[in-house]
Amino acid sequence: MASQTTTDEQITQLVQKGDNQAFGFLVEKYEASIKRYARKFTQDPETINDITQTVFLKAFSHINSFNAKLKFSSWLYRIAHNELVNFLKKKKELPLFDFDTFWPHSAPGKKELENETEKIMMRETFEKCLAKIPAKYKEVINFYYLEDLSYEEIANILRIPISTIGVRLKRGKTILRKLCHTTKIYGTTNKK
Amino acid sequence: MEQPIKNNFIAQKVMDKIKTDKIKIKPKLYFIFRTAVYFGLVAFCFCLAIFLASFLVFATKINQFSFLLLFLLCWALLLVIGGTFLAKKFSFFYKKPLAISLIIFIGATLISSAIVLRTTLHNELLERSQKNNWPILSPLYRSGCGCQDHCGIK
Repeated sequence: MASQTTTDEQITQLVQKGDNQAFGFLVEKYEASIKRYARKFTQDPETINDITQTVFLKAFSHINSFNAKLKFSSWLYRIAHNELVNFLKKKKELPLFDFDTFWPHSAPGKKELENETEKIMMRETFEKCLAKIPAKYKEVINFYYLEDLSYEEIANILRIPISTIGVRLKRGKTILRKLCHTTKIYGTTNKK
Repeated sequence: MEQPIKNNFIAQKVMDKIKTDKIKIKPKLYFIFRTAVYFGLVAFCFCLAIFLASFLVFATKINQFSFLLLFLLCWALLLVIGGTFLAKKFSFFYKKPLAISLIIFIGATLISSAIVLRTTLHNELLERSQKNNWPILSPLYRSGCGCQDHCGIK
């Protein structure tokens, strides 16, 4: 029987054994996170709700593929990532092939990206300018700065090399700085 | 004990679908089978690439390099690339850049082909394909080796 002190992984084991109602704990716990993630890619509330619902329904139907020794949240984000990729492909917002994951990179050191003050500033900057950033940078910035996941966790969600994550974070930050700096100088457009 | 769903639209909809059996849990066997199929496909691509690569070298020793052998070389490369993309499903490969995975695959194919060439596999297949009329193999060895019967065999 699931309770507030049961871990996510223990709850999934209950669901795998047949306690379908226990899945409700997981839906309640992660609904806001998944919606927040989806909101980075679309502002339409109906689309966000549809994607969120689909993510949880897929998670339920595929629960037997989850290994309880791993983190449930990473697995759920993986499903959400796949749904958002399908959504973006329909809108033709994703390239056919991403060369970021092809070549090895010497990733920027983690110290460069883990300063706490910088993290807080990045979160605020990201929220202001996220609509203009390409999807592949949005994801890693969202997971690293807003969801506070590690490189390893992000690599498992996105199924890309860890070095690519460091490179995307660095490039994403550069783009954000340029965009937000421009917005600050020129203000918002079409003001009347 | 039933989990009380708070005033939560998405959670309510999801749990309603689960309660009314509109969505069912896929059995574990389905995922085991799917993983086995993926693994089988990767292994098939790899094995076929090794066979083609070793056949190319074997045939070139008997006959001149021909258009057919060039065609088979392209197929071997496609199989290696296809196998690498399929293998991206597994963490050992997706944690590495694609270029490194390709190098590993190509390297493994070349080393394995060299090992196969040291065996009598191709000689035996050539002999048997000439005695019997096997589909695919007989025309492959005849055209690739450029002979009709009893060639390349001592």
